Amino acid sequence: MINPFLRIHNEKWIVPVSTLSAVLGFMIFASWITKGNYDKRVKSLPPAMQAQLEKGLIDLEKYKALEIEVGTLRARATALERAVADNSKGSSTLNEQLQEMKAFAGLTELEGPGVKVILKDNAQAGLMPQDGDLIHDIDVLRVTNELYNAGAEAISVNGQRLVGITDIRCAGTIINVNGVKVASPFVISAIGDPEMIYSGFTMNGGVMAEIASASPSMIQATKEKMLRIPPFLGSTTRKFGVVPKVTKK
Amino acid sequence: MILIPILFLAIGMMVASFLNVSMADANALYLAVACIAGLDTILGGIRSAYEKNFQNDVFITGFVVNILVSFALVWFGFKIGIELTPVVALIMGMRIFNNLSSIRRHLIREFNDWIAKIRQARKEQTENSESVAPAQSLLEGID
Repeated sequence: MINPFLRIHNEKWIVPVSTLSAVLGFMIFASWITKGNYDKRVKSLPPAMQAQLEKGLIDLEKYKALEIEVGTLRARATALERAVADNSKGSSTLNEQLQEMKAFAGLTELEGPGVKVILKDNAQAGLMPQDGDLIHDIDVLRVTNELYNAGAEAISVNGQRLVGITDIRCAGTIINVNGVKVASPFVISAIGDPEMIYSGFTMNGGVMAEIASASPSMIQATKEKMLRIPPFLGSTTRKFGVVPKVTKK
Repeated sequence: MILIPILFLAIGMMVASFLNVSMADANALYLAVACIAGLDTILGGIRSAYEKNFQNDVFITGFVVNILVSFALVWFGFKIGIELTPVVALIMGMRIFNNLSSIRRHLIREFNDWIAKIRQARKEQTENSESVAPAQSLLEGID
């Protein structure tokens, strides 16, 4: 039988074409992307392409993570919705109470009118400041105590919310509040009735008059229409204290 | 006969696999572009063989120059910040399709010719046997 593909009469093409075909096969194999050389190949890409590739990969990973998160959150939402449907009124009152307690404990952000007190070291004290020219931890403590006494509902010192376990203590040239270092000038925000706090705080013979005796510039109190106090951000876990189940009478 | 270059393509791949050649740096992209250019030139060579105007020097210089030009284009593109790899791939891909369609036409024509030839041969054979048979019987009759 005659091969139909045999009928090219001019045979001189076979040798060069075949040789270069072999070369081409070699090249194709060499440029084949395998698992082994993929990573190295990516590194040799121009930076823009590399960044694009990485972006794509990260986006996919993020997407997967988000998908999982959406799943868990949806499950939680349905569980909560079911609980609400079971006992809508009871749970809503419970939630309200919980929010109230959280606000009272200082775990929520709070905003409202109040007084802002700024304490700073005496700038005119010179190179050798007297003891009264510097703001100490005890000054901050006394000011906050005085503000609570004047009717403050919530206080923060340089953004640190004062709660039941707050400590204010000298730590060298700065002060620790809630274990966080804060430095002069101390901005103390107190939410409450501005008029009442202001008048109570600035009364003669009070803490303010005492601090201002060294220099009036060390303490300033201003009434504010709107203050915003951040929540307590420290740890709220207990290791030793346990709430007793039966209250003693 | 068109199978010989394909066979050699496989041989080249096998040689590369035996030598464990694998490009793993920036040159791999250039080599990939060169592969497309080379494939185009090989197909062009086969096509010209079918058209009976194959020339050794044209073919070999075409192979080398196509590869070099595609190299140079891609390199130049990187230098001036334009991605020219798709451009080379597009043009060479178009040419590959052109060459392939031309080769396909030639092959179909060859195949049809071959079929026609076989039919012709069979027809002639039957005619011959028909024309021969009476003569033989005649001869037998004579005997």
